[in-house]
Amino acid sequence: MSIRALSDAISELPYGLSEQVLSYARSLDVAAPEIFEDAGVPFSREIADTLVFIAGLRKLLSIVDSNYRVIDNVGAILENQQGGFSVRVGKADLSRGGDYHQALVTVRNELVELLSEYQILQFAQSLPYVDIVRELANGR
Amino acid sequence: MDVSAVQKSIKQFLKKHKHTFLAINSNQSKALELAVTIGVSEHYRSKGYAIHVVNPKKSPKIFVVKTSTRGHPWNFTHLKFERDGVVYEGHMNLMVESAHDEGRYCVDFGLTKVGCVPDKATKKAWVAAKNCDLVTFAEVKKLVVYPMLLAQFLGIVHEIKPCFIHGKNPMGFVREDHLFPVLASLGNFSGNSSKIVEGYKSRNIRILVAENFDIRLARVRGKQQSNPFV
Repeated sequence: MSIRALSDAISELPYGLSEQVLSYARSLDVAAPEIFEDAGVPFSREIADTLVFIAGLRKLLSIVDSNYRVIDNVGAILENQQGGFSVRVGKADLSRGGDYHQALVTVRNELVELLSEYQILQFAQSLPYVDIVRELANGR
Repeated sequence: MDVSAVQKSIKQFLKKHKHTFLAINSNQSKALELAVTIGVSEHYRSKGYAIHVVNPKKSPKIFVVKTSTRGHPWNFTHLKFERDGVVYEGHMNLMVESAHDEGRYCVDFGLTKVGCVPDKATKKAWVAAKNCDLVTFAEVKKLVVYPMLLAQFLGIVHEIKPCFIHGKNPMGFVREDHLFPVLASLGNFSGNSSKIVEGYKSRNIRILVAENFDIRLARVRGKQQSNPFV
């Protein structure tokens, strides 16, 4: 169920990114019984499904975040090194402050905002899965 | 947690930003290759090398990233690293000869002796750098570091610079503060892969695994550290 819910939620993603999200979520699904054991919580399919859905969101956020960080940091370091360059990959402009960089900033901010709205940002960002299972078992 | 409400919102969000996600899909690997190039240059800067960015003659104000095996090297940016009169060059997606046979490989970043990769059009087609001209290299993956990835990278090192697996370091390698072959990754160590890397020391395998590379770059940018490989 949860993989299906996740798959439906990310149906607009390009195939390459969608596979990154789904394969990460599937690996979490396989590891779920062990995570429940480590959390000291009896295994529940319903909670495991929610956990797998959260794992997919975590991967989605990490894709956006890491791409933003790479472009932003490389741009800043290059500015410090020489200054005044634009960075081009094929036809794409990857310069800091360029369209792609700006789009990454917007998408990242909006995704963080969306996850915060549902009070699951911490789940998608940093909380260990063992702790997420405990919180979900306690009715979150 | 209301999964179906989140599901609906995520779907709307992804629809709204469809073009950006298409761009991420297309730029992800390229951006990473650029990142490892910049990361390596920060290592050399931290060791006292001056870095010169050499852009193609026809676009001197544009840092042109080479992201595939195709294209002439003189149409792309390369870097020069200079310290005490010694100069090396850094090239992206560099074709290089095997250490063993007639094989040729493309490394994401290659550090070479100066002048062995043409910086202007040649009459005879240029194919690959000679193995003896390659000093070290770096590969980057958008993956977690898992055991088979490490095994694959060791295989690459074995084909290109086997001295770092069994043999001595090239003369002056440590004195000139070169990096051992680098595997940079966006992910962290998974499974028991950190144990495998710990074991390399006792096996005298000299490679450098830089997990969480995006976070390492952020620390360099924030001046919390000067070298992303430390």
